[in-house]
Amino acid sequence: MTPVLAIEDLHVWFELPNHKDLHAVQGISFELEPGERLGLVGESGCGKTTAILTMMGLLPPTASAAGKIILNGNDILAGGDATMRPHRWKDISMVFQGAMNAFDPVKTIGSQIQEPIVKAKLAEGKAARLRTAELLELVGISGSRQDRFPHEFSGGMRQRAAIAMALSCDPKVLLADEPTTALDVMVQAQILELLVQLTKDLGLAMIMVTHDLPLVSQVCTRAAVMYAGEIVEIGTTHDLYHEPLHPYTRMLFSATPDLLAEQAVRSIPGAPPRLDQPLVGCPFQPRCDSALTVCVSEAAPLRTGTDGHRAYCHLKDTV
Amino acid sequence: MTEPLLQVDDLVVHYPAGRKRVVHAVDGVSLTVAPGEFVALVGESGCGKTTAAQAIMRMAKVTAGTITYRGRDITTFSQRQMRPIRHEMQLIFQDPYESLDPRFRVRDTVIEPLKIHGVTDNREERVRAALERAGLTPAELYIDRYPHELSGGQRQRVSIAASLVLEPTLLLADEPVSMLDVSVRAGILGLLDELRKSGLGILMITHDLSTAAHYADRICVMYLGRVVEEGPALEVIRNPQHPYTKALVSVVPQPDPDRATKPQILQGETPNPINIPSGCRFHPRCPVAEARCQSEDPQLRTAGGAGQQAACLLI
Repeated sequence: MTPVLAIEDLHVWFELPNHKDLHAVQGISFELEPGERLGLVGESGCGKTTAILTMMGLLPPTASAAGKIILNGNDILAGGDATMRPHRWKDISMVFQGAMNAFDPVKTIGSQIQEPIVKAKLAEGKAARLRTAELLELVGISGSRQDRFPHEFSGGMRQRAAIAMALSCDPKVLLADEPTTALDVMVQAQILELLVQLTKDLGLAMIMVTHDLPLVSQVCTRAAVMYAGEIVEIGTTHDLYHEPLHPYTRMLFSATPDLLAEQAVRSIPGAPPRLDQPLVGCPFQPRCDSALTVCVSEAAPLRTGTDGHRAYCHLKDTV
Repeated sequence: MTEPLLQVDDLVVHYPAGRKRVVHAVDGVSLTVAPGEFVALVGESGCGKTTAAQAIMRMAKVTAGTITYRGRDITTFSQRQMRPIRHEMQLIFQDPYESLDPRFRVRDTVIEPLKIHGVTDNREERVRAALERAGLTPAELYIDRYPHELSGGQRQRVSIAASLVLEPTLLLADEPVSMLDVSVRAGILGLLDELRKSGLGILMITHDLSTAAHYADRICVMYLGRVVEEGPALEVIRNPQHPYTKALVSVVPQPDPDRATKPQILQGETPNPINIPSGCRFHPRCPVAEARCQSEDPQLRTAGGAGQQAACLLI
C-alpha cells in the first residue's frame, strides 16, 4: 500500500531570544498507511507535539522546518504556507491538546463546528447545519444538540465535539494530541473506543501523541518512541513491548505501573538533554542502564528487526 | 492491630447549591489509616475524594460524621485547636509547578512551615534533614536554588520536604504524580513508599488504579460521594466485587498489546451530585442492576477476600 503520509528527515528549530537555536525535532522519518493508527510517545519536551504541529503547518513564526512531509505523493512542506494551507483540515486535521476546553463559551457548539465547513466552502446555511448534525451523530452526540452551549456539555461530550470539528472537512489523516488527558478513565475508554471506531469506519489514518504507553498499546498497531527530538525506536506495539531494541523503550515500560503485573516500577534517573546545544553520541546514554563507552562519543547506528522494526542503539544483542 | 492514626466514620459533606438544592459531595464515607499504612482513595473526578481529604484536614465544613485522629475526635475542633493537629497531618499537592513560590529559594519554601508553627530551634538542620529525606541529597546542592532551576520531579520533592519538615505522622497526598512525567513518577511514589515504611500513614487520592495497585496496601473505591468497595489492594484489583469496580478495572489500559481485555465501558458519566439517584446510587449505569436496586440503598458488607467489603445488593 502507498502511505497516505510520509515524513522524511524532518527537522524543526526554534529561535531562542539569545539567538541560539533549539533543535526540537532532529531528523525524524516514518510512514503512515491509510487507516493505520500510529502512536507517538515520549516524555515532555521530546518534540512529539512540535512534530505534528509541523505536519499541520502551524508552527509559530520563530520556528523553521526542513525535510519532507509527503501527502499523497506531494511534498507539502516545500512551499511553506502556500502548499500547506490547501491541505490543512481537508486532508490533515488535528484534535489539539485540551481542545475540549478551547470552545468559545458564548457560541453554540454547532456554530463552532460549522465554521470550518463554511470556510472550506463545503456547505452553507441549512446544508451546513445538516452536516454538523451528521458529524455530531458520528461521534455519538444527538444532532439536535448542536444549538447547545459548551457549558451544557460534559468534558467527555466536549471532547467528542472537538473530534467532530476535526472531522468536519473529511480528512484522511487525523492528528490527536493527548486526546484523553484530563478525562476520567471511563470517559477515556469511551473516547478511545470512538477514535478506533472512526478510523475503521472512515478509513482514517491517525497519529496519536501521548506520554502514556498503555494507551498506545491499546489503541495503535504501531508506535514511534521519541527522545530528544529523534525517533529512537519504531515498530509494532507487540514488538515494542515484547522485544524492544532500544533500552529507552524498555525503561519507559518499566516506569509505567501495570495494573495486573507485580514487577517493581522503576523510574528513569536523570533528565533529557538540552536541545539548544549539539548532541554528541547517543542522547540517551547518560540515563541508559546498559550504555557502553562507544555510546558517549559516537552516534548510535540503526538496528533493525522484523515488520519495519528499527531503532538507533549501539547494543547488538538484547536490551 | 495497631490503633489507627486516622479514623473517619460516616463522613458527610454537603454544600448548598442555591434554591434549597444541596451538593452531596461526600455522603457517608468511612475509612481508617494505620501507622505505616498506605491507603489509596480512588475514583473519578467529582466522586468526592478531594472533598473528603479537605474535610479530614478540616478545610471543608463537615456536615455529619466523625473524624478521629489518634483517638481524639477532631470533628468539632476550632481552627485554633486544629493547629497542633495540622502540625502532624500534612498535605502534598498535585501540581509542583503551581504550589511553589517562584521567588522563594528551596530553603525559604521548606522553612515556611517551621515559621508558621513557631518552631525556632535548629531550623537549618531541620530543613536539610527534610530535603535529604525527600531524596534531595546532598541538601547543599538544592537548598539555595529557585524552583525554575529544578525539574518537575525535584520540585515535587521540595514540596514533599516542606510537608516533612514538621515531622508529621500522616500525609494526605492529592494526586501527587499526575502532573509529572512517567519517567520520574516511580521515584516520587517510591519515596512515599519509603516514608510509609518509616512509620508514616499515607492517604493518597488518585484516579489511577494502576498506581494504587502498585503502592497502596488498601484501596477504597469511591462513587458519587460513597465508598462502594474497599479492601486489600490486590484483592480489589484482582477480585473486584462491586460492578463499578469491575468496570473500572476492566477499562484500565494495559501495556501488553497482546493481553486479552474485555473492557466493559459504562455509558454516560457520573450523575450530578445534586440529584443522587434513589436506592443504589450506581443503579442507572449498572450493567447488572435489578428492580430492587432502585429502592434499596446498599451498605458496605463483607464480600470477596479477607478484609474486603462492597456496597452492592447483589452480592
